[in-house]
Amino acid sequence: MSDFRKLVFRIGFLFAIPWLLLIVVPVIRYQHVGPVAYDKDKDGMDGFYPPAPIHRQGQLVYAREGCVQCHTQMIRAANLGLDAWRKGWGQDQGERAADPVRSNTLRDYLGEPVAFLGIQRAGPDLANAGWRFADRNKLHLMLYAPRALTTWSTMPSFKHLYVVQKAQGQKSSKALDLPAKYAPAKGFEVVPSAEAEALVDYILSLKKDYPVPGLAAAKK
Amino acid sequence: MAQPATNDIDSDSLRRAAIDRSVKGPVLFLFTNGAFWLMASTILGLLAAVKHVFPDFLDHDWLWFLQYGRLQPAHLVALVYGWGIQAGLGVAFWIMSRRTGQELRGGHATLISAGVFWNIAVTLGILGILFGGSTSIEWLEMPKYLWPVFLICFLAYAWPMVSMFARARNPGGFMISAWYMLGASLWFPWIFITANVCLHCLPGLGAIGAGVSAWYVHSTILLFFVPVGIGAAYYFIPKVTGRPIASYQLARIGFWALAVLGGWSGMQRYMGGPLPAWMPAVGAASGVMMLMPVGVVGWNHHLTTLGKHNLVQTSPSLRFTFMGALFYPISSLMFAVLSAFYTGASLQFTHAWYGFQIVTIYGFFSMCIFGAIYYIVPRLAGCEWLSVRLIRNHFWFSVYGISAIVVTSLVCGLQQGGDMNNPEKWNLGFFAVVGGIKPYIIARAVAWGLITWSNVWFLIHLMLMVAGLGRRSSSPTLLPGHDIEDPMHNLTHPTHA
Amino acid sequence: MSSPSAYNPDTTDLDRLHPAVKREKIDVAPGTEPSPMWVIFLALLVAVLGGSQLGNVANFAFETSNPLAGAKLPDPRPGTGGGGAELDPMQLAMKKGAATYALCGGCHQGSGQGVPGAFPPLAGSDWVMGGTERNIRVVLHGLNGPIKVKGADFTAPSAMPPQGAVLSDQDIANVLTYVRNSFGNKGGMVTKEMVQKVREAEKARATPWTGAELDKYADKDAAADAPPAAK
Repeated sequence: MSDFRKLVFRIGFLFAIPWLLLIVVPVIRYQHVGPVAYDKDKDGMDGFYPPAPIHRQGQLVYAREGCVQCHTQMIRAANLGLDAWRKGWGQDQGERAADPVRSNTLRDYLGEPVAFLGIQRAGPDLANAGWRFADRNKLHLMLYAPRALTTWSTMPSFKHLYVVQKAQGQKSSKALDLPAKYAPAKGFEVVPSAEAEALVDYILSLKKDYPVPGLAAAKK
Repeated sequence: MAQPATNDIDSDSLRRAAIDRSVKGPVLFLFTNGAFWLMASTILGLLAAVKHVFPDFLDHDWLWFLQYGRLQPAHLVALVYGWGIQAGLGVAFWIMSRRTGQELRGGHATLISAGVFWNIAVTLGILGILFGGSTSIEWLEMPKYLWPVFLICFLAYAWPMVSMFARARNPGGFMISAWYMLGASLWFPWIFITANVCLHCLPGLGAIGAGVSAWYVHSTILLFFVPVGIGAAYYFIPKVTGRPIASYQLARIGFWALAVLGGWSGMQRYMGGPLPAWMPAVGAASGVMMLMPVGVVGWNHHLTTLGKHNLVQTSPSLRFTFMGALFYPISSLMFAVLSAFYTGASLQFTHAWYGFQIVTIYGFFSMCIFGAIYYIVPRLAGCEWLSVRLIRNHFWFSVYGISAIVVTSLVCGLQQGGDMNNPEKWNLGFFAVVGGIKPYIIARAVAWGLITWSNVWFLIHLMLMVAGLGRRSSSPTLLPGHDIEDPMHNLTHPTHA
Repeated sequence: MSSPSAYNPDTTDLDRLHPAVKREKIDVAPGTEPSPMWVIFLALLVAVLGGSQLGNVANFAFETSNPLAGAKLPDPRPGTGGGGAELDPMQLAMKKGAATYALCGGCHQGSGQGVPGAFPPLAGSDWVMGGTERNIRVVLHGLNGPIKVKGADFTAPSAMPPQGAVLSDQDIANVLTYVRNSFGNKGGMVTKEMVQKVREAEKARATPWTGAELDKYADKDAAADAPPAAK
């Protein structure tokens, strides 16, 4: 074998090892990962884990707006960060949750084309935002005018996802309740577009704190 | 006793001149377009940084697309694909043809067309990101139909490079730069195809997909930007100083260590997350172990430039390359700190990651590429650089800007991570984080402003050269230094003794 | 190596066409000395450091994302926790309030001195030491328009934004307790029940207060139950 072929072969071989072990084999194995059934006796509940998929249309809007630049969707293991103990980052939205939020597993992202684990945290983690934002209208308000809710927020305003339309008689049931500073001109109302509704549906579908079969028993 | 390549200097020079003439078109095309995208990227970076902390700046309805979530990926795509890979290919192509002694015979039209299509793809990519086609996959945010175009254009350059290497007849010791360029030509298409097929063509990959995306970013850095940058440094440092590379053995260790470690990195971005636990661990190990090839290469360059620091002052090419080679260990240290579990956990999901990307792509890679461009362009354009002041401007403002970004992103990252993980603030909102990062992002905006300033002049200077409007002279444009060897010294500095 | 084309002065006149190429230095082969020992030693050290990152991993199972999942980990949060010493409610309020004050410091300054003409001081302020009914309302709904603090005038447009949506009753109680007991102030404690009662009473309020509207609360203290006993 000539020197050139030997060199190319060596380079290729050395790269092929991590390529196979880190990418090819896990991708193949992942095709066989599916939902797991809960055991009524051990876990105390029925059904499958994970129970509910995310809203795919809304995830497209999430991608288009670049939300991953500031928000993550990943609760880290408690030994690496405070995620598990932060207020409101899990299913338990009480003042002081008794148990830490569990770190996310592979199956939490089942059904998503690519999990948007996030690039940076300039804002809170959204893995369990579905429980945190119980009120749909508050979420719309947050997207339309974030500084109406939190004055110090640097979240951009997603006004382009909303339509300012002339109020036809009765105020539309979907019209946003805006404070004076952000309210439209008199006689107009702000209504979410289909994209905004999809995005809100998506965020409300983000619930990644369902118990893992087998582990739930260990926590008690 | 150091051995020269051949004993026939004139025929060497003729051969080099012939090679230069043969690659002139494609290489200058890539450099000029790359410089334009660099300027676009720095402006986008400046705007993104401002919009990050002042989201209501330029809050007009017709500018609805100017949001951080769209500007930041556009900035990085312009930097990586518009400038980084394009200029990197230009430098790699020139170095490969010179080092292998092969002229480019034919195929010029293919190469220029590939360059044109690459730039069209970058343009469509950035417009797509800004106007609602972003995929939000790190470094692959451009709309998904563009990846085959990028791949084919890259292969159009990679294929001749690989075949030049195959025909080369130089003794092994002279091929170090060429190995790195060969590696980059083989690794990048492999990485690019893998990532795009997995993320755009295979059915849902969930968290594994996120892992593939992180692996793509790290692998592109370690197996494209790093080899092209080091390869350039290994070519130009001996070339300009006239000294041999200090140790062939160290050079080989450095290359093979990179080849072994480069593909394992990436998953540590999501440490503590949904990926199978051994993947981030392996990535962390590889990230820390990268200190070894970096240290080895750095030591080699240091030994090569010992005693020639006067040349670092006067030669623009060596100055930029030297600075790039200096930023390489700095970026590697940042990489090790970001990868290791103990420190990485505090820096995860902070601005330190962005700082690392910029230090590597701009501080290390781009500085080496600038050094290469300052050397190569006079040989292709047939004239010398016009203005010493513009070169100094370019150098110093780049150094100020990139140093500011290194420091502010590290400190910001530590602050941000500290605030996020502070148990005392477990039930408070994110206002501590948001308020804490503001000054650093403003500093980052200023730094990008400085870098934009330096690159505007670089672009103008480069365009003048490419148009053939440089200095007609047989002596190079040198920066003022205290080089007593310089025969022009007494004439330009009459007051010095 | 390519052979030069047939003699043609235009293509081989190096001095004229490619002076840059002519002045290039000769390529010299790299040094062949073996690497120094300490390089190998340092490399091994780096390998050890790198390898230690693998210590976290229990096995190579595909399904294991977190080797410590299910393990009982200590609660790092201050306050009632797994056996930690309980802080006195006043101390706890001061501590929490100090952290929450980061929100207020942007305008009222870290020293509580405010900015003359723009943001009223909190240090030694008659407003702060006055009725808690007024203070709670200011924090909940914000404050617009000209007021007089410590004899100095503070006029619009720098209005105080409402914090009621952002801060919980406990947070407001903590920060008011902190402000009333810092910057040289010596006041009592504000409890979350007091804030809760005011929030309930003013449920319909949507706009910030003006100075005149708050005059009637200037001396009134919210009804305070005894601070909750330490659990």
